[in-house]
Amino acid sequence: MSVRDTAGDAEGGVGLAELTEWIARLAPGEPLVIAEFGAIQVTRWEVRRDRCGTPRVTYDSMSWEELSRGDTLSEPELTGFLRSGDGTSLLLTRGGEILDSLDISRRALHMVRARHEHARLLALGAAASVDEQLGEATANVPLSQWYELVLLGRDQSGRLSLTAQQIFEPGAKRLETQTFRIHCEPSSPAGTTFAVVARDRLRTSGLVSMVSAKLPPGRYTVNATLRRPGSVSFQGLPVPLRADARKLADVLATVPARVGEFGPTHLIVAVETCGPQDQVAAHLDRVGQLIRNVATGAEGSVRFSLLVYGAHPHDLRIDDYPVEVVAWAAGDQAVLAHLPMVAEHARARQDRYTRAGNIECMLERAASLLQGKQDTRPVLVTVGSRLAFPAWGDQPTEILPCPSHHDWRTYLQYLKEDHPAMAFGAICGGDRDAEVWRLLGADASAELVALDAWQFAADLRLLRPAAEHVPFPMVDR
Amino acid sequence: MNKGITLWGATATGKTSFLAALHTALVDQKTDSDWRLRGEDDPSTQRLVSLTHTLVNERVFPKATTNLQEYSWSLVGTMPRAIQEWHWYGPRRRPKNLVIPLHVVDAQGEVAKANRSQGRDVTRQFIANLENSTGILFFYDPVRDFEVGDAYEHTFGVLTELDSQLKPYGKLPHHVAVCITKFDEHRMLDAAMRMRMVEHDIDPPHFPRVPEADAREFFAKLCRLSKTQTAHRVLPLLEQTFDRSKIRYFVSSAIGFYVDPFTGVFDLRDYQQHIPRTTPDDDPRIRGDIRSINVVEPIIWLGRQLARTAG
Repeated sequence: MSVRDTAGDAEGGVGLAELTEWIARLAPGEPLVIAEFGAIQVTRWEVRRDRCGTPRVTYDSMSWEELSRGDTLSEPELTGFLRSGDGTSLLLTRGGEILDSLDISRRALHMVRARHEHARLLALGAAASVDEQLGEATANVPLSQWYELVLLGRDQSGRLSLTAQQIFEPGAKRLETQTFRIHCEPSSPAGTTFAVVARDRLRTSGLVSMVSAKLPPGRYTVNATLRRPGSVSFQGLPVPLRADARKLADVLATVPARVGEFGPTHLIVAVETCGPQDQVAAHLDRVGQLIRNVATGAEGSVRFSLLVYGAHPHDLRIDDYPVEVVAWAAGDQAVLAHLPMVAEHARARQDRYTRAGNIECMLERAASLLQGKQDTRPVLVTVGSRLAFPAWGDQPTEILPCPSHHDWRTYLQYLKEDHPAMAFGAICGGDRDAEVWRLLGADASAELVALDAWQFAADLRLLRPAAEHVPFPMVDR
Repeated sequence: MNKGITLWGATATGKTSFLAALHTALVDQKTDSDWRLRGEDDPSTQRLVSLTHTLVNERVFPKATTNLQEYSWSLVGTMPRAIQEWHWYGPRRRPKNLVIPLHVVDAQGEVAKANRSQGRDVTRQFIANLENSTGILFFYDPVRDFEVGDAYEHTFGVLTELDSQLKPYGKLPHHVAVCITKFDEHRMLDAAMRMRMVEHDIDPPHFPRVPEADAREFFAKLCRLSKTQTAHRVLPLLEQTFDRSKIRYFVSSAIGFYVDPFTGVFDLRDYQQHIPRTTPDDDPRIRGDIRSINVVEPIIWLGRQLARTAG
């Protein structure tokens, strides 16, 4: 009988199955120590489960020479090195070449066994080494926490929020699989990151694994396989994933606040056509520029509407200047074709009150036209230079009130409440800091003379911004 | 004294607008006196028509007076129950038809500046007109005085010269209607409301009004708000120079407040009648129908004093 047999199976030692169960039962932070007595050194293996429940193995070795005082093995040095407590979590085993009975390792083993009578022997069985045995045992340990894949969700307005796809439950074992669908948006050169986190009831315990690859945008059916606790692989992707050494927090920091919802969009452009001719021409020019850019660059379908507004004349001898719906939910060419006619009508119209424009009536009209229409995401872009008429007398500005007493704040609020996904853009040739222009340009604001139409449209989620990358897979809706 | 009434006030205090509103205000009056304004010669009639048309039809303010303008107008009306007759069945009162000559002198505000060196002749002529007038319509624009603050300088200059011309008198003999103008301006209405001096007309459009009983106090308080810190002397100066019993105060507006034609009722949330100039080429405008406040009252009061003085 070999020395190895004596220290293991022959004495009813702990085999692979029992070792696996032992590791699975370890409480967080509780160590399992395995002392491996080799020919020239003793190796101390320590198994602990990290905060995600993943068994983690560390080891350290000391030569017999280092543990000896002269020719004598020092028991205090040996027990100090093993730090095995009362021995209830201590397994002993022989390793290395099998030597004769005078082998120092045999003496050391007996010394430890004599000191820790509860210590049990580890049976390596078919494993070639403690390392291999531990590798096999830790791989077989069932999960103690939920494993989730970090995903991003997008609400109707395009705002992103972190969410998760549960892939494995506690108790899941090695080689278990889970199939689910994801959607990948364009990513940065670092690629789309598949980060698996562990969750212990309500709390995320930590990152389990993180792999990345530069995936083409699109929908994928992914098969996740639990390789072992702490290791999940993904199949079904066109590009192999590679380990990602970045910190999860660093990747999370690159998540944009919003990503474009490029579903059906309704771009409503409201343009002020009262005032000096050159200013009206500039307004209409920006309208054309914006519509052309969106029509050529939009990823989803876009319908276009054009509302024209002027100013209440506050002159009883002159007819009011109602908001005109030049086009509604039409194609881009149909709207663009109306612009010369709009310019002509504006030239012919008398501008009697120059301190404000009918923004409040335009908003009332837009709210009325959009009422009950939820099939597309509306985007309202107001192009003008004047302030809105107040609903009632406004002493600080002395701007006369809207004859219909429409309150622009109320209608803006109606629009926001009725259409939570609605975006608002403003191209202003006047006071951009005025409250009405700040709120009309809540999502995108530009000066009349310095419009970056692409960026402006991107801010309104009409076009995809060049720098917009989504680092995680998204929920497939 | 044969010149009737002279309009007196600093630049841009609303004298010409007052005259332009007068004819319409008399037509709109709701008294049983039926007073109306009549031109007594061709230029005066033309001016009456022109001023009224500009303000009422074109809804713009007439151009300010340059130098000195004289209009020969008459206030024509009836005084109900003015004549008492005796019949076999006893006494009976019947109305008396009156024609009160209004020799209105409208002078550019600048002519009466105390330190004015140019146009001395015009100033002298203006003082002479005041001297010969029985009634004076004195205009005080609190808004202008708050911003420019020239009321005291103007008043002091004129009164010093006038006093000098009328040496035999102790207090000057004129009847003075003090018009605190531009009551339609929101700062004026706000001030009156804060001072709790506002009442609303019983009849539509239920305009706010500072009652005549409070007008002097309102004037006194407004003068204290002036930019120059000298305006508070305007009231004492007037009352030291003229007989207090011959001064009456009216808080007035030539154009009145805006009234929505659909509701026909004054609305505190929407009453701005004056549309200020918004561009250099633009003229200030009037938003709605002219609904003068206390334009008729001072002129009729002065007219009656004139009639009484004339016997």
